[in-house]
Amino acid sequence: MSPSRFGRPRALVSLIAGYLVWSSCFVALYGLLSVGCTLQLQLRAGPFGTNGLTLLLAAVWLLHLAVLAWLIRSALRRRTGGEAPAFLRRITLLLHLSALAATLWIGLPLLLLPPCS
Amino acid sequence: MTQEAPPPRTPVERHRRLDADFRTPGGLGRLTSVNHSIVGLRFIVTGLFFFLVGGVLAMLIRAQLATSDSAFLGHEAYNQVFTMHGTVMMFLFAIPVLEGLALYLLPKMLGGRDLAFPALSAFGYWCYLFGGLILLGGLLLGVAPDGGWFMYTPLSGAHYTPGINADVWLIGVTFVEVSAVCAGVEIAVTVLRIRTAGMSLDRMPLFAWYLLVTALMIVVGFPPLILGSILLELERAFDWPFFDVERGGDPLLWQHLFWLFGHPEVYIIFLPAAGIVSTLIPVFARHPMIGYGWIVASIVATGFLSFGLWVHHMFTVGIPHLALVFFSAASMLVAIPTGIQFFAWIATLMAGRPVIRLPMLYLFGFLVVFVLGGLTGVMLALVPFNWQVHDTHFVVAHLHYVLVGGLVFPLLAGLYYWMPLVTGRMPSERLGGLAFWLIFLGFNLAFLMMHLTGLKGMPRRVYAYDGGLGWDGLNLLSSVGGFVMAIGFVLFLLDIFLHSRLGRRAPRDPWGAGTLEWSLPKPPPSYNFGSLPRVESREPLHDRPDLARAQAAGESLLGGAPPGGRETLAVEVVSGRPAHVVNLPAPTWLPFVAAVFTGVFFLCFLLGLYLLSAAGALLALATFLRWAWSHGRRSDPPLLPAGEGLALPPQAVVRSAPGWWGLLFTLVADGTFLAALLFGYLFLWTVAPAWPPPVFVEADPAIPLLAALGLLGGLLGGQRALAATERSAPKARTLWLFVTLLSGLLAAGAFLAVPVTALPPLQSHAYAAVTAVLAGYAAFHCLLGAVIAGLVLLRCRAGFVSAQRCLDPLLLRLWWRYSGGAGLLILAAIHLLPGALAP
Repeated sequence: MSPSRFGRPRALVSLIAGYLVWSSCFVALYGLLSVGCTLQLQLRAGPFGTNGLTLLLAAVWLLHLAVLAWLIRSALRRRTGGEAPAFLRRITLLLHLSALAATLWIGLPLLLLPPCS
Repeated sequence: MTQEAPPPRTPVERHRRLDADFRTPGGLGRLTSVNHSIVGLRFIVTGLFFFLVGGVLAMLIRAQLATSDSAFLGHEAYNQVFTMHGTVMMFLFAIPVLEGLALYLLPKMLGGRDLAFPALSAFGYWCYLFGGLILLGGLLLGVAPDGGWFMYTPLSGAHYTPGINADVWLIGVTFVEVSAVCAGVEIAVTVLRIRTAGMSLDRMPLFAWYLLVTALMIVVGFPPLILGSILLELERAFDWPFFDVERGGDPLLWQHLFWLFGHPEVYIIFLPAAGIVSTLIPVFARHPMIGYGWIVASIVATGFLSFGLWVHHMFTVGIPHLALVFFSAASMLVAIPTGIQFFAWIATLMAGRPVIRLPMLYLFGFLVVFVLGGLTGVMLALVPFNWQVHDTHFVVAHLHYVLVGGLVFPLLAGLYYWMPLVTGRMPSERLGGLAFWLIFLGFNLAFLMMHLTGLKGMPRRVYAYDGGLGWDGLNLLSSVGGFVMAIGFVLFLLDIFLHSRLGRRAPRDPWGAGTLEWSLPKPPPSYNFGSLPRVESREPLHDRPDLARAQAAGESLLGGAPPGGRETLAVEVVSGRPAHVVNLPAPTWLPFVAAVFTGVFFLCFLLGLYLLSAAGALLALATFLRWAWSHGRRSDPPLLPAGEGLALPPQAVVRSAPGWWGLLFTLVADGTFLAALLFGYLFLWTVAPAWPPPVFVEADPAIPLLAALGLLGGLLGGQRALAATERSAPKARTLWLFVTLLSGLLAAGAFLAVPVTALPPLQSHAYAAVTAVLAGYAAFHCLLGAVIAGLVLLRCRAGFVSAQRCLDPLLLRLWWRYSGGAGLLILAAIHLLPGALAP
């Protein structure tokens, strides 16, 4: 009997999936900003007056937002069914929604500030 | 074990049987205790002792700063005093006392007879005590740490702190952190698995949710500081330059590693305290908690968000503005889940009919003080304001509002609340109330003033200041307030002491609570529950006021109490359905002996006696192996009658036994350690000034090939040994265990060859030093993987393993899955990254 079948802890992994994506976004933005500034990616010009590093960071941010949107869609579909009890399904959805808001919030400064100053 | 013994006929017979199994022996045998009530109370009492020590140090600080140009303490003594005040309060009081409360209460609230790994908690306690004694010894001998509780480099490096003061901190605190990680694993597995029947996740007391998230935060949050401490100790002891700028190091690496731990630490302290608040408020509001699901979601969100704040302690070190804004944004975000909890508490109070009893008074103190601390926290999250008040007394005031408000007031409320459970007597409302008002008023006098002192520009950590700067009057008021608060704490301790002897007898459920711990006799018996109740709501005692009688009478589960059985229930994680029976350990010397040898390792390292230190480590390893040998059975056991017509498997035949979960969470901690190490490697590479290094790794191509071969052999061997066990093929099992053992040795040798043959001198550059640490980490894991394979081999020969009882090879496979993956990652970091990143 596998541990996941035994106690259904997969429901617990789903519970934290949204915030795992938030964590990944946070670490990726901070890490890529540091590496990008070291490699001077901000000096490469992009379209509409942007620069290479901002574009890269924005792409990573949008990718994470897309994953979160997908997680929310899946959670909405499972809202009235699935293996996990209703309580867990409800707070999973709540956590995914708040993780989406949190990811939006931490990435917004990308659009407002130059990356390496 | 005689499982066939007939069930006890009377409650008294049941009590005698269970108590004989669970009680702690007298005399020297007390050192063998593994009972969670004893170990939990030891943590609490020791923590309160260190709180007194930290409090006396605080009084020395306030006596010194009461007037300008004070000659009470010299600067050297003052540096030791304020460093030890912070260190003692954070590492020796705050976390251990909350751990103690959790270890004592969780089984009683969850309906278990003990924790998942009672002996591990006992080991953790001894580590905490011995580590604390190292720090206290340093203070008494005048060689206490003196570089501030966060030990910033280069001040704490060998050049500026040549004595052993900094080593005392690094060794003592790391020893205590071993204890914290043990408690983290213990609490997480206990909450997930060791509950009573019917206690699904949505019926768990909120306190358990808080502790679950806290425990996982400890597991993830402490390893970065353990790594930082090891690196700094290696630099101080062997001159490996991780933080020396001239040789490729960077002091900022220390700050990152420290605050990667340090900020989550604030929430590691706050969440259990908030758990106390969420437990007490519905009881005294006479209304079930409003927003249970919202609170659970808030706890989980806080657990994550609190890891995105660490750089807000480093706003002034010269990080790009955009990065500062990431952390500033996250710092503001974390206020939202905390705010949700506050609204839930207020809503519950408004919906109910609150009664102001003594614990509620302390909760009132929490609500006021913590909100103020939270608000100054939001101020400090704003970068421009942070720059203005950085390193001033404003920050000292803020952190005390957060920690005293967020920890001390709820803790005192909790101690008053659960005191009748521990002693069977009620506290004095009058003495306790007087203590509260002295603490509350004294605290606000001391620290409200300190905001102003800070805004007027007084820096923290100065032992003297000139008069006429506008600081004198405010400092004097702060000192008066500090001493008033101290009198309040003395009254609190006096109340604890007096009530346990003179207090009136507590009724069975003195506060009218609905959680399971109040169904127990007061003080609770060593085994907690005569039989484990089946619960059907979050407040089972309100559903069934006669629960105590039913438990004593052996109704419901595991009331059979076979002599020597020491049984408790493990449940399915989510549903709370009974899954199997756990057999808890008897009192044993092994945790104490293992902690003594671990202490020999740490203490001898501190004193520079490296051979003796290595001997201590080997003896500790031998003790752990002996400990591992003591588990398991030599024959396949039958299903056990558990009551209510249930027959459950014993843990010996269960694949997801608590041991599997324990190793899983230990590896999560281990993985965080490695992630922090890889972060350090990349951080130095991209940020430290003296990079790239003059020479990179120059290894014979055979070295990485042999390492990869060994890692793959370990992975494959672990997998195949398990498969052979499952299909009852002992010869194949033996063969694959040998393959695993030899592969581990081969990979360990290949990794050790890197620093010996392929790197420049490790003192020459941070690149060589950090690469050596990476190689050492991989070698250690492979070597341990070989030792575990050898142990499993011997246990197979001794009859501990069968197709049914396959936990040993299962754990071996899990170990090698982690070590093999981590080893391959390290192999790439050592041998491929230089080629990819070097100019």
